[in-house]
Amino acid sequence: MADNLRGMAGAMGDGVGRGTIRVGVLDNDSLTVECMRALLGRLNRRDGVELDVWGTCDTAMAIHRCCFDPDRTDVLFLDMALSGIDGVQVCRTLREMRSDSGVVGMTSYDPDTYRIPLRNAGGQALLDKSRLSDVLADALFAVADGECYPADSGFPTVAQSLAARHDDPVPKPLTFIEQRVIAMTLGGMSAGQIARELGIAESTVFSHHRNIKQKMGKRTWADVLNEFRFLHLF
Amino acid sequence: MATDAMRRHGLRPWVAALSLLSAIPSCMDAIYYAVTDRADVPRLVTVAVTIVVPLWMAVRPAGGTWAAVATYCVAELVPYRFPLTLMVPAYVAMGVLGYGRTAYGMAAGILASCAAFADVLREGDMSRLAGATTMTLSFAVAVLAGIALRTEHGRRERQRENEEYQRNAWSAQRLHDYTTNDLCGIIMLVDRARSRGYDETLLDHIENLAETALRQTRLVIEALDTGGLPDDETVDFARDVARVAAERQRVLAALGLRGKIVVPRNFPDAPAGDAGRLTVDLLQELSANIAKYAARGGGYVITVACDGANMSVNASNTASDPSGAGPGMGTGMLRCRDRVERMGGTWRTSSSGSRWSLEAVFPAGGTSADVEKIAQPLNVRRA
Repeated sequence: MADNLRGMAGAMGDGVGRGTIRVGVLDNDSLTVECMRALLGRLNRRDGVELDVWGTCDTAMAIHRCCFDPDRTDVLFLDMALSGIDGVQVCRTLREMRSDSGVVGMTSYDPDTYRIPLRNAGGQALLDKSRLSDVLADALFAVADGECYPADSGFPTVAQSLAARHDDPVPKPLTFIEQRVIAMTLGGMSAGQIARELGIAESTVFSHHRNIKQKMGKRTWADVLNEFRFLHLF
Repeated sequence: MATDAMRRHGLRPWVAALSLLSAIPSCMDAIYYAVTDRADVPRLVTVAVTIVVPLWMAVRPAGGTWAAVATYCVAELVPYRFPLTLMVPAYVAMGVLGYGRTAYGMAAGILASCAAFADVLREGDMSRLAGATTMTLSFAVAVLAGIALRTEHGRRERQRENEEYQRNAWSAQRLHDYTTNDLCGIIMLVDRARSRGYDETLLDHIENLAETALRQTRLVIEALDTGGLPDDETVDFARDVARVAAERQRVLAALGLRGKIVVPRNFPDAPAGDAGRLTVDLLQELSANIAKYAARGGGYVITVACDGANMSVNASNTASDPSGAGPGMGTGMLRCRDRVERMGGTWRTSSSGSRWSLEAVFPAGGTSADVEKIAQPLNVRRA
């Protein structure tokens, strides 16, 4: 394993000119998160590459950071067996939400257990936790470039995994006028009064009802109103 | 085959006992007829049949049951008076056949019913029609009893298997969480120690030991983790949570919020007591909170997970007002927090920049022990 460090240094050489690579670590074991941060810390600021590493045991936060943070996370090191949730499912969720972060699975199980499911979910690499230091640098830089690791592993690149994902149709958000119709109804106005107030035909109010029901997946108008009473939004 | 099902469920001794019990009244009846009536050849055949058929059924249920049904049918069809108690082994046979396979039980019941009605038609005595109908109903009861017994045995068997699978899966998970993870940790620490110039030979030795232990542990996990099927209750719970999650996600999407509620497809076990209800309530309250306080473009993520012992519901979203302390908590959320804490769980919220997050962990098997306390008015604190 003494060769690892030389390997890392070699790999760091490949990373010249990359600037900053933002890396996330998600593991239910805080010791592993710390070990990973230490291992990644050894790669920091070598040959001009800076690593900005965050780590967490909170799955929701990790997904949120990968999908919605203004600072893009380039690579997520993801434990495959989180407490009560599957790393494969986390990876699939990231792809469903169009996150372009590279995903590197890590496992202390036999890697064959997760290889195919992770590949199908859109992951770029799967590493054996007991061999992390051997391959960490190579995997990090390959995946940060959007590639898979190793090159012949059969894992998709980030672009391929995003292209392969068929988006579920996302319902359109309620329009301003639809929200006003709901608010007025909750305020006790009848369809006729709402029509007069908005300067539209009464039949148009009912057509708004229909669209709102469809967007919210509710069967009846009463269900829609109950939902908004529960949400206390208007 | 019927016998396979019986052997699988260990029912053969019961079949034998029932067969022999059913033989007692019919044999006594047949002998009584033979002694008190004239002892002609048909009478002696009847005695022989009433003794042989139940014994056959006790020893070889597959053939014996059909023989008992056939005997009853023949007795109904021939113009000769058989003892009425011949029906008892036929009932047992139909029950056993119904237990073995529904189709066999139904076939036997239909055959016996046809024979009963054929006897009425042969005699031309329509006043006995009600009697034949009653017989048919009693055959149906015998077949249904067999089917019900099989269903119950199957259910118990599945439950037992699932408990075994769950125990194994639990052991495998524990081995993973506490052993393989630690062994991997040791290997990583050895690597760190090596980079700091500690004794190479000693470190190699520690690393070899950890790697060997890791290989062996993985073999044990592979043997234990046979992936049993979840029971019906667990499947129902997973379906309920998934339905609520999809519904909440759709409502939030309609309100212009992007995000995801991540729910595992399978749970190790259905949460007991209030834990399941609390999970669903938390999902609803969290989504309502996100609808009110999250930034429209900031996104949200909620995850639900269960490791067998604990349920955990985590949420992360971007607050619409970064200067505030994150989303406020309405009475619904405060009630949920109270329920989590009463169960002995933990409720942690944190804010970092504009990101607000919640981690609620509570025992999956735990109930709100003091329901009375929950029923009392809560001391609602507004955030």
